[in-house]
Amino acid sequence: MEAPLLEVTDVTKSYFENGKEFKVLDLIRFELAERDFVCVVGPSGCGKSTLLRIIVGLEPPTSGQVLFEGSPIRADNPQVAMVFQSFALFPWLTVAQNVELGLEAQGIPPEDRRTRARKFIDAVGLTGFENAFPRELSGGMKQRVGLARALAIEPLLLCMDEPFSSLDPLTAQNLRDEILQLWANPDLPPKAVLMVTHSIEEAVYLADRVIVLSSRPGRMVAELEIDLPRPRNRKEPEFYGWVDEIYSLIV
Amino acid sequence: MFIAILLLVVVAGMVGLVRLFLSPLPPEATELPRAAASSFVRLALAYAIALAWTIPLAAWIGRNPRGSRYVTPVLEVAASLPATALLPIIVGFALFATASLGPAAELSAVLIALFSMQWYLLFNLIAGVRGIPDDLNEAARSFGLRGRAYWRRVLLPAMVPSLLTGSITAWGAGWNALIVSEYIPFLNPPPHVSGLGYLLDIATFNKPPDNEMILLTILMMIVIVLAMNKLLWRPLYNRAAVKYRVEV
Repeated sequence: MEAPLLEVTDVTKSYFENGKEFKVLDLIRFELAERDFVCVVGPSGCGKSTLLRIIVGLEPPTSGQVLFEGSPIRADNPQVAMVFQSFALFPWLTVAQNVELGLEAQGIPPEDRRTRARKFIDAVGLTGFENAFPRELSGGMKQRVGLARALAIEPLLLCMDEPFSSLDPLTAQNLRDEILQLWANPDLPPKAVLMVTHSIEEAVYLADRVIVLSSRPGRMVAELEIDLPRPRNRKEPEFYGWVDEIYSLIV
Repeated sequence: MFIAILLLVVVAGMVGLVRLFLSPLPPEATELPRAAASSFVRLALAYAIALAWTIPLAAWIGRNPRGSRYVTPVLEVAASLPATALLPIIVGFALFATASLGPAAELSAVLIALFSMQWYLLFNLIAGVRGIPDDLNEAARSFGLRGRAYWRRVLLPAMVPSLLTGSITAWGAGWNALIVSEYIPFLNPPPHVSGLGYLLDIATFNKPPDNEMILLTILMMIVIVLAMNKLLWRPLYNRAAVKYRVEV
């Protein structure tokens, strides 16, 4: 058994307002190993985005801890990359400059930066758009930039917070398939994916393992291994079996 | 009624202008270009000083709401004092610092301009930094962007629109401050520096007032302000509105 890449141990998160405690997450505990593609699903307001922000170190947990490769996670860990629901692209930077951002922060010289950014811009199908600005791109293309930016730092763990939620259904489905294609290529990063979504179908379509959270406070209801072969077909009864099962766990 | 008064004012102004340019210009009018240039340099200097301290402070305040909790109210009170009210203090300080009348007049003129201009920059820039969307700051943090790279890629570009708004207002206030800053009537003999504000002041304090020079000086100022707005700020602002606008 390989050592886990990520260990989330009894993470609890509360907000305090006028002395009153609002618990958002309660005792979340799971592990991620290499070659894991894990989706966290739950109804809106279950704290799943907060959980992801804690896991990448953008927010501290109230109690519990997150270990990445055995040590406490830091937001600027270059082995962990984040894709945002809102894309979070810098409007004044070109596609290439946005993709190079993490590499620039690591102090990689401009030449290498360019080559590496180029590789991932090509990988997400944006060849020729290097010098475009985000405002000139469609939503789907923007998220491809977000994805290329995350992959460019060649992370071990890729975290995605509802990456397809602000896209139209067709674009979202194309991007899901492309993520799976990239994932199937072992030469490309990352080694593991952790994704948060409110769409059960999306989770069953993508993940090897689905973590189901209850609503307010978010508690772990189940951790399910989705053993369907890829490519998965949404029309197959097995697929729907999983969707129905998760659905019944949430409601 | 209002329109009638407005029309009257405009027509009277036009007649005045036509008469002004039909008669030979007063000999003092030859001083106008030089005066305009030295006023401009003085304002540019005050603007540069204002930029040098407001940009870092705004960045700090905007990014540390908790740390700056006690700083902002102090600054707001300071900003509420009009530069004209500070005039005696500034002149006193300038006299103390330079110990001679000529340089003191120069120093106090720049300082008064600075005190008129700086707050517009500061508060606009603070708003600009606070306006950086959370997701952009989080992206910067999670990709490990800090120090110079953070300033270059995130902070400074995000400040551009508010810097322009602040600059336009600050320069407006600066031109306004010239009137009180270049001539100090309450000292005897009144110290002064060359500039549009000074020309305007002596034309006004003359007995009888030198209406031609008042008009010419104000016209000169209007031309410079309009030119700066049209040729500098407007184009910059239009570009910035496209490139540096953050979608929320």
